Amino acid sequence: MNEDTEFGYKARQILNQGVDTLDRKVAGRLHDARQIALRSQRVLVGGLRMAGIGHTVEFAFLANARNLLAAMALSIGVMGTYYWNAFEQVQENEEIDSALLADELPPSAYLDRGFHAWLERTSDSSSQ
Amino acid sequence: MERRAFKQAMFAIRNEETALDIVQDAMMRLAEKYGDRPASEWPMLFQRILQNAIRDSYRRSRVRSLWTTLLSSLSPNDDEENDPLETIAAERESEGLETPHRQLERSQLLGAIEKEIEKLPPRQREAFLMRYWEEMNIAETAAAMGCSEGSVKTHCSRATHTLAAALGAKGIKL
Repeated sequence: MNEDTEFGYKARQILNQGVDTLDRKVAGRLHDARQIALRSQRVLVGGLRMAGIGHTVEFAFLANARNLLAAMALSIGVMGTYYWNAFEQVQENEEIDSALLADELPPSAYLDRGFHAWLERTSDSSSQ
Repeated sequence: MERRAFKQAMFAIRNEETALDIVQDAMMRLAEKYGDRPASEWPMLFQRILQNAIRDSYRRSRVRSLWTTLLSSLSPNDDEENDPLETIAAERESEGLETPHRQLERSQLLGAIEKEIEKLPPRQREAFLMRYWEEMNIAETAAAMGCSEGSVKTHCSRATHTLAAALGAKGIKL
């Protein structure tokens, strides 16, 4: 220990006495200020924990809650698009069927090869 | 921690209310802005906030006292005006605890050291208190003071020698 450090160490011991004998009112105000500061402390939240179990169980995967939410939103979007397309297809078929029944076929129906095949099949069966 | 911070503010500002405000403000800033930082960084961050606040307050008080002096044509040596009052206050504080003779000696020694620390140039005082009272290493002290490690060593060495010489002149040897 060099001279400076030794002097600093001794000065520290004496200065600490001044801290211990601080006026009670001042010490009280400092304590209150510390409590107020602690209450407003900014805390980093690393993950979610199950209430009641506390530290013992921690869901590590929930730490990436933002990524999980993004993935869920994407899957909901994909499923929604799939169902919407299926619904549109059904609606289209429904329109053609009702037009057939009402004898109001649109010109596009005659361009459909499947419709020709159906017409030939039904005309054959009706001629027999 | 907050008590030592208060004392540090008192060494520089010599006003209890202002010193309390500075410490409270420094703790709030630390908690609000750096509360999520690793605990090992807190002493350095707190000292940086505290020393900046002390310096700002000191500059403001100097400007204020300069204007007051100019306007009211009072004695310009306001530092000397405060010292006797502080000494009396310090002596009164210690009166309630002076049961054994040794304790009285200690409180007198404390008063002498505190008074000499007050007289140190601000940067030397900061370096000395952070290194030896707050037990921060040279790198942490340099980071808190915003200077090089070499400057910290120089400030500390000068502060130690000034204090030792001043106390020696009063017949005190640590």
